[in-house]
Amino acid sequence: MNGRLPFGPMVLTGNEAAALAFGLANPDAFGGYPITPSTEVTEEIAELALKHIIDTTYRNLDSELASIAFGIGVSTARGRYGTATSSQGLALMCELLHWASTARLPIVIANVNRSLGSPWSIHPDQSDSLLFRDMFLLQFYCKNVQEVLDMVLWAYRIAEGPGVSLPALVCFDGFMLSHTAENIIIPSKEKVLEFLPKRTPSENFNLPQYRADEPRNISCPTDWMKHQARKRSLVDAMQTAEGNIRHLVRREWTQIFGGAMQYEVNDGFFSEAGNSQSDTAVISMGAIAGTIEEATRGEDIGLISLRVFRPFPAKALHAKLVHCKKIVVFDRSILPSGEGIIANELRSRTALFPQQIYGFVGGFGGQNLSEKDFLHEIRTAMNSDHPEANTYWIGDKS
Amino acid sequence: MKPKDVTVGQFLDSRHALCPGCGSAAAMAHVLSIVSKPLPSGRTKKIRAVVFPASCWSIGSGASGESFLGVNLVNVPFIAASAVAEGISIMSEREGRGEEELTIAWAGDGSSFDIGMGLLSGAASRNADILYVINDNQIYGNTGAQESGATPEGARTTTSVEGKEGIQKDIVSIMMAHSIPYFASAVLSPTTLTDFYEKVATAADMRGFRCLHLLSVCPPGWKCPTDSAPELGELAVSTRIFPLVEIKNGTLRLTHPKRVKPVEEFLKYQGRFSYLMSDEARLNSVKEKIERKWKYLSKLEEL
Ligand SMILES: Cc1ncc(C[n+]2csc(CCOP(=O)(O)OP(=O)(O)O)c2C)c(N)n1
Ligand code: SF4
Repeated sequence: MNGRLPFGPMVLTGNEAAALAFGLANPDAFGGYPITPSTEVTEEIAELALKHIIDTTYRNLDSELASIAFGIGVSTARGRYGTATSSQGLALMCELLHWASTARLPIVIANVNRSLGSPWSIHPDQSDSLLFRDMFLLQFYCKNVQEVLDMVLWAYRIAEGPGVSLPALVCFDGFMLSHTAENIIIPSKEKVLEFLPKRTPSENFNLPQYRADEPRNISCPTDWMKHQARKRSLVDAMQTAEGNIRHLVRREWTQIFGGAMQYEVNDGFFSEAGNSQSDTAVISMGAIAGTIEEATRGEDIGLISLRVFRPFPAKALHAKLVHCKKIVVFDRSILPSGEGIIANELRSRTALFPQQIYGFVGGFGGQNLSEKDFLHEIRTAMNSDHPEANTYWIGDKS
Repeated sequence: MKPKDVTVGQFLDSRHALCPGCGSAAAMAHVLSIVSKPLPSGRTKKIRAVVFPASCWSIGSGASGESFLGVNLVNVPFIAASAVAEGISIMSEREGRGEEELTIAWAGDGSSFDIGMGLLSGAASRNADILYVINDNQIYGNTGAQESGATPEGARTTTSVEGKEGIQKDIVSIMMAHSIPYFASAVLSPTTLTDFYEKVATAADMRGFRCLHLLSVCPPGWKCPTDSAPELGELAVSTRIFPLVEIKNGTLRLTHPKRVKPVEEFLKYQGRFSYLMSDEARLNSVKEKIERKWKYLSKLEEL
């Protein structure tokens, strides 16, 4: 990259696309700390900043904790902040990530999905970002490299939105997306600026511009009523985010970027393929959706790939699945209850999803999920009537 | 800047929730007064924010959004003050107000010597443009006086009931090893007032990472009378228990007490040293270390 950010069609890896997206979002500061498989995002931003291709202040930090702390400072002082990490790095941020969320700081983190140890593994699953499913963080998941670029822009736009003001994770699978090159289209800087103008900070949570007469005390203790109101407002913020995504996709995104990068289907919450009228729907999230699509080409099945996990698009999913008799879920996460996390989300809303839910989990520690595996599992599920509490481990022959 | 040039301002609302006789309460009022006046360069700075990690100040400095200190306060987790302050200062810089705005981190010894030391080291090595104050009461005060890395050997805490066994971390050497533009240790007491004022003003006037190490008397933690802060501050210096150093551009200056007093003079007023005072061998070992530390600093001063 020489002189300025590229635009138009290009072949990029997920990490390169994420770096470029941050470049386009032009945060005030970006904090770097290496971890496989997200390291290239950091390296690229460091170079873009060093060469003054972007005017972001880049800092090499001494840990992911320092990175999120630095981001809390930048964001409290009304700036835009970004960083990239994976698994152990994200987990290390836990205390401060919760603080950033409840202090309502719209920091965007690219999390390249990687299994969270022990044992060590650099292979992708979603046990790292989904560890934070109970935090008030927006979570986007990408199916391909184009989505990596687009979701970083969405993430800032939704996170910084009035009434939202929450941090966001943009998640994409290690190696499967981070290190795989695909054709994508890069929007121009001008259009991105139109979609994502300079941040307008929420006055409720940020340092005011300097005023001697009206000092603020941010995040100090309060009485229980105010504290409780703050908790409740987090729920409101998540709901606002859901509405804002719908609005954003229907209006601005489509108007500004037009044809090539469209997400109108299902208001952007998830993509679909296969036969949407089928009795059976298969739900997954992340890059495996592509493999499942290949596996089931020509089969009478509807496929859904979640793009937005938080806020969880329960209403949109219900509308899409209401006619289905069977829902098959492929999870790459596991809960102590023995279920995968997406399956658990659906089962916890029986009024919306009364169907039989067939839960499959797998893809841990580098397990290579082939098209054949998926087809086999899906057919088994379609032909069986097993109790929904069961979870099937893909590839488990015992 | 001399103490007579500064009137201590209304920087501490009487509703503050710090203990009676808290040394750091007085130090805060003085520090904010000093940095709000024209500094030695003639420049006046505005305080963008004081960042507090978890400490006595998290509950002492305000409530429900109100600041009891008359300046913006930002409360953050225990580990995070240095890097949060760095992030705030980056925004002052980016908005073209780096020269006029000052971001202060005011962190306890627990935060600085222990849990936040990694992040402190990082911010120092990046020469973050902040004034980092180590408000050292030699214990985890807010949780009720447990042992910290700054607790002196032999001092009793609630987690070292027969006196601390381990060493006191040498924060002067640690910070010196980071080659920061400015480091100074200071005590607010009648005889060290000018030294205190000059150091605070110098630190506030500079750019880059400046660190002030303040010894703050803590009556409940030190088991001393609530009116003893001025006298104990003075004794900590004259017994050489808390050497007053200033490191500027790599050069160390030591303030030599006019009359050196025996270590026991400092120890005897504080219940936390009762075990140490009754154990001669241990006391001698502690005294020896204090002596050695002074010699070490004197040698550094000669360099
Ligand atoms: C991660 C974490 N661990 C422990 C605590 C509990 N805690 C709050 S304040 C404090 C002691 C602070 O001690 P110090 O930094 O010396 O400041 P002081 O209270 O003495 O002013 C501790 C242990 C916390 N808030 N966060
Ligand atoms: S515990 Fe000590 S440092 Fe904390 S407020 Fe009380 S006197 Fe001050």
